[in-house]
Amino acid sequence: MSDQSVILVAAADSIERDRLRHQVDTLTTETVQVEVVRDPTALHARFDELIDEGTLVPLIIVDEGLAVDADEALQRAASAAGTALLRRSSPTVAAELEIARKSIQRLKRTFLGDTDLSDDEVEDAMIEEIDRALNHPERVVYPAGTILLEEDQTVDGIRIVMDGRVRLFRHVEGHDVIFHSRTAGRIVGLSAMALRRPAAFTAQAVTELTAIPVSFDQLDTALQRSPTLSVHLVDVLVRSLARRNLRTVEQRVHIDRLARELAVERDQLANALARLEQAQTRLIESEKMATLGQLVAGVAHELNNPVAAIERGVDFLTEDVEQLSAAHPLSEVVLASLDRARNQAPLSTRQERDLWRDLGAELGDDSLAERLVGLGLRTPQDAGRLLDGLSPGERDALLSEMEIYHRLGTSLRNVRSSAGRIASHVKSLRSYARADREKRTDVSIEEGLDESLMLLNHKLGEIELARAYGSVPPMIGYAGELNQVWTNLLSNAIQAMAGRGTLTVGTSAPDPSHVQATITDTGPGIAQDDLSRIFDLHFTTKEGRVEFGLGLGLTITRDIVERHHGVIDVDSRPGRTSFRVTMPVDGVDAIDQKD
Amino acid sequence: MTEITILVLEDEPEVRAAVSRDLELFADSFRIGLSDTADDARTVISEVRDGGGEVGLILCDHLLPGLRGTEFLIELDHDPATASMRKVLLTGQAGHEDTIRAINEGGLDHYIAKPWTVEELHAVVRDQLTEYVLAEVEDLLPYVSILDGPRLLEAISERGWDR
Repeated sequence: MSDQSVILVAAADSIERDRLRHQVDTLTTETVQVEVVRDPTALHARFDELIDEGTLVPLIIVDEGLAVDADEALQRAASAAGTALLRRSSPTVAAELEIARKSIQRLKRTFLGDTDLSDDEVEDAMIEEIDRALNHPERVVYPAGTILLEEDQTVDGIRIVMDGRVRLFRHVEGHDVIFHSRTAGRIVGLSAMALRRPAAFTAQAVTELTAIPVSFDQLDTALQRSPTLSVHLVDVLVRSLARRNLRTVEQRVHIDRLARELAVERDQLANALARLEQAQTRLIESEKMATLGQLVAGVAHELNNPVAAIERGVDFLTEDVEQLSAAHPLSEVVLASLDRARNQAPLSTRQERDLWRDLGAELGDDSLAERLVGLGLRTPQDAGRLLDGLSPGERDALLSEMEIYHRLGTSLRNVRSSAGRIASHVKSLRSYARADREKRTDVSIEEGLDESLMLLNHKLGEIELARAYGSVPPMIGYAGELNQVWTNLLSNAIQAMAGRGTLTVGTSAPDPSHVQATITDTGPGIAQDDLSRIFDLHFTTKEGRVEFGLGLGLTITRDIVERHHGVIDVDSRPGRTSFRVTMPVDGVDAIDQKD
Repeated sequence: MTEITILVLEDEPEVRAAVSRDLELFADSFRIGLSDTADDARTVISEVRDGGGEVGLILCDHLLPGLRGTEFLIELDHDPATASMRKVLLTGQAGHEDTIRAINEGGLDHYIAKPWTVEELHAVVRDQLTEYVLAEVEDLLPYVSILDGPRLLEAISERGWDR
């Protein structure tokens, strides 16, 4: 588009020419010139010339004395170029001139992105022009909710909205996606008109709507009758489309931001889920441990009664057997046999064999020696006192009688000691599980280590155990939980050594307000890469082997130590791995302190 | 006649005494040997062999100081001198893996769970000793009354025909 505009004035009479020129001069600006021509032929020629140059011709004013009305060719050309064609005799010429003046400015400025006129003024001007051209067409009132256009349907006209609001949307996957509401503008069917294609949107009245329906045919007629209408229409079109376009850009930006926010939220959700899953696993593990503790405490309690009955029963049996033996014809001998079986320190199988071999050599009778040693008679003197002067038959009868009482004594002794062992297991189970685990008490970490070691004793195999206990004050904590810590660390250490090596368990007080336990094994060590991960949930070097009640991972161990405001650290190299737990003596009551 | 020993390998004296007493049923025909460690069991086995006898059956605890019973049984199975010995695991604690390994590697003929019943123990010992004497002993007659009589008599008559 050229920077220059030219207003053409055509008049045959020189006086009229001057008068018109004078009127139009008010329109002249730096970029708008007025040119005057004398006749229709010159007007045609100059108009074509200017249009060919690309010069904008917003207005042609024709004196009524010239017969231009009949010249349809000029009318068509003016309509096509967006040029307003004015009759000088029109009573509204002054108003039209004012509109033309504004249009010129607007035409210049719209494309520069600036205008004095509001959208409403532009639209009002357009409506005014339509009213004039179509003889005030009918206003139609549409109730709220009326569908004015259906997307993808052929459109045969526009509706110019006088009052009320419209929204434009498309049906997308069962939803109405709203594209324009405030930015719908006042022309419904805009893009259909501009692009001559089916409706891009469905248009619906949001409120009650007053609008002028204008068919494309009517619009063509109006455009022909009122050349300025095209200027207004183009202006309205450009503005509406620009606003819609702006809105689309905003929406695109908005969508982009939403997408990024969604991606962030999705990541946060994924993280939260992972953390929840971890927390759940931890809860399940500690719940398992708590259940295990209750189970152990319950079982221990149930075992107490039968154990007590067995222990008492053995005592009663012993008394009764002694009473019966006192009535035996050989009471002295059988009672002695009973006593030896009950009280004599047991020998290893090798010692016992050596004894009867020696005695056999002395007595010259291996099988007699074996029977005697079996009865706890270990020297030739013992044998002599008992057997001298007896015939082989009498000897055999006596030994057989003694063997009955020896067996009785052995059984009583074994039942007594086995029941005692059960009782002691029950005691350590109860103390380990601590039915009263919720209560904080003074806890001795050495007792805890010892109880845990007792439970793990059967796993030691050939592992040597070295205890190095310093004198350590009690700490305030949950004994049952701390026992889990010791059991877990000790069990890991034992497992790492696979049956051979030295397990060193030490305690100390690094300062008066802290206690420390160190558990050291001589296993292969933990790889440097793994060291940072050993406290992670599910991390195990045990290749999936789960030991009953153990294998809980160091995560829970660390949780418990931290609940006691302590720290756990590990130092590992091949052949020596050391876990050190340091806790304040105030334990769970301590205030967190930074090292 | 070669004297056959039943060896009990059990580190806890109470349990050892109980097993040993439950085996008295067999004491007229077999020697009962007792060991509290795998080392001592090796000694007993070699002493028995030095004395011209054989250990026909070992009843072995699973948790021994420094060694698992299954490992010891596998060791015995790999030694030609003791391969023919019948091997029974007597345990309250063997895990599946250990037991499966012992069976697969041929170390284990039978498995008795603690606590055992005397009937079960007698039946297992009788069966295992019957297998042993059928495989290793020429003169089966002395065992007919104490072990599986019908099987032994059948074997005796078959061997008689062969001669």
